[in-house]
Amino acid sequence: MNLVDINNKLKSGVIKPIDLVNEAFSKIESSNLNCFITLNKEEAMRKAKELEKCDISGLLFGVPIIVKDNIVTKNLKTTAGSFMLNDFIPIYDATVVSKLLDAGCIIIGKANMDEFAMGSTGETSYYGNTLNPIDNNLTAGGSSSGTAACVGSDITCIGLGSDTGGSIRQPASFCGIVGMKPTYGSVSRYGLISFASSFDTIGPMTRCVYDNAVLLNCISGIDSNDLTSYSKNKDNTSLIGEDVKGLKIAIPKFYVNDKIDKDVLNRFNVMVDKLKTAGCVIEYVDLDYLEYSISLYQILALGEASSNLSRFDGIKYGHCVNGGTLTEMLVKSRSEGFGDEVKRRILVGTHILSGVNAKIYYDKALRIRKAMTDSFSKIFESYDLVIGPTNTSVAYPLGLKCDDALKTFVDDVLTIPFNLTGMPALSLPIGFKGNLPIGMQIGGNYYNEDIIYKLASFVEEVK
Amino acid sequence: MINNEDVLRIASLANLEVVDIDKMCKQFNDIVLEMDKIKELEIESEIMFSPCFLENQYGEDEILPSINCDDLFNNSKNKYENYIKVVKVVE
Repeated sequence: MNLVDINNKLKSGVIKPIDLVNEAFSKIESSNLNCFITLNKEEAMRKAKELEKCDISGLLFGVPIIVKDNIVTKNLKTTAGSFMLNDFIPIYDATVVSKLLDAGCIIIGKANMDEFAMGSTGETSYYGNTLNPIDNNLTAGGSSSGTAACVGSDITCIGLGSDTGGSIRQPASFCGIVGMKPTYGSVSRYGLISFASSFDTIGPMTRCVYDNAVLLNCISGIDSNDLTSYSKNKDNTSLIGEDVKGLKIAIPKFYVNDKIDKDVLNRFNVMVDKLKTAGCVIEYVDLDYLEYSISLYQILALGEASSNLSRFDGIKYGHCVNGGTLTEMLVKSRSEGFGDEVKRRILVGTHILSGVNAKIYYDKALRIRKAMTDSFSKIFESYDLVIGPTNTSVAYPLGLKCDDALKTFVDDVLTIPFNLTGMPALSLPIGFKGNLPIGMQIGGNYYNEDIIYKLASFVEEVK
Repeated sequence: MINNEDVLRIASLANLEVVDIDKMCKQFNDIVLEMDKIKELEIESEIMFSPCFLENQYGEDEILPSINCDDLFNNSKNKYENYIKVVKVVE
């Protein structure tokens, strides 16, 4: 069921919120996907009962939702997929969580994820692998693996993820759902456990385009607790269903290169033909510096990560190993608390920011980031949207890339550019390779999520 | 090239222990090799400080209830009365 169906049934009295919660937990019990780290059954039941006394308000009223475990929830364990925060109980709600609760959503649990959102397979989680709902031998993608698997297997129809280099769009693509990384700043990051602050974005993951836009409407907006937040007060559903004729769409040549899986590319080209038939104007363009995306991401995101994760010292919260000097305590607590991938990224980030490297790498990367952003902005002077495949391939077997430090970044080569520029991008399914979904990415200029949803709703209809 | 000694020095800066230094050193070099690609670029652009439009946000200067100390202390392993206890650093 989508949000409109649920709302209609609630309004007609056919179902109550408690029925939706019971159905979700019944599906969880029969699921083997390991998409939850913490369940919130008692509180979900209590809230569902409480909502029975209230008037049915918007489309999110009474709807069960899964929230990625790097978004803090008051009195509900929040681990960020790490042993470091294995017993961390937040004392406040993230702004997005407050907004969901105000809208009448029922949080049924916290989603499994790559540790501190560092990974693209879900395999770096301390709490075990999330399995792909379509084929349990495959990765669900990452880092928002749990949310993608939960929504993909229809335990809930909506969920929240976070995206630093593709962590919403890549798992959405692997699990056959819709995932949006909104414009940086349009959704408050207050209460999101930071990985790379100038990249991190919370976004909706849903089974259909309309629900995605509804959820984004709910969570976006200016927040005095996040000074990078900003709002254009747009209704993201306003253009859904409108004629796409005349839309000007660019395809960066880099997005259709020979490293992309042939079947993925073929399916993408089929969709391009459909868009042309519908009257979209589509042209291939050059976008500067895209080939440096992974280098830039490693330098900037890992630099920020090393700084952000220095707060985990075991003193105020988090895993703590007592004994010895203060330095020994810090080293032992951090070394036991963090997993290998996180440690590796902290070390690389520390290297980048050390001494002369800050100038050689970090300073230069910030300049290239600006140049790349200017290149995107120039494209958006002539085009409404940019499209391409979301990933270079479909979902692959678990364990395939475990020991390769670089390959986990290569997965995100097509999604990272939108994190570097801060522009919005959405992934939605456009077909299959065998039984595995193929994702298409639609990117837009800042705050043009409404135009992205306009095209996405058309693609959803004709795929 | 990063060598084992460099890895240990960086680990010390990051307050981390490295168990398999050889493996970490190899992975480190793979990543640095990728990062080094930007060295080939001559770039004149200004620095990008934020990917979004930033606007000052002003609010009323009002007193709000503070965080509850008991709640705050719940997540700390080492407590003594109303304090977080840390290892002695001054003899």
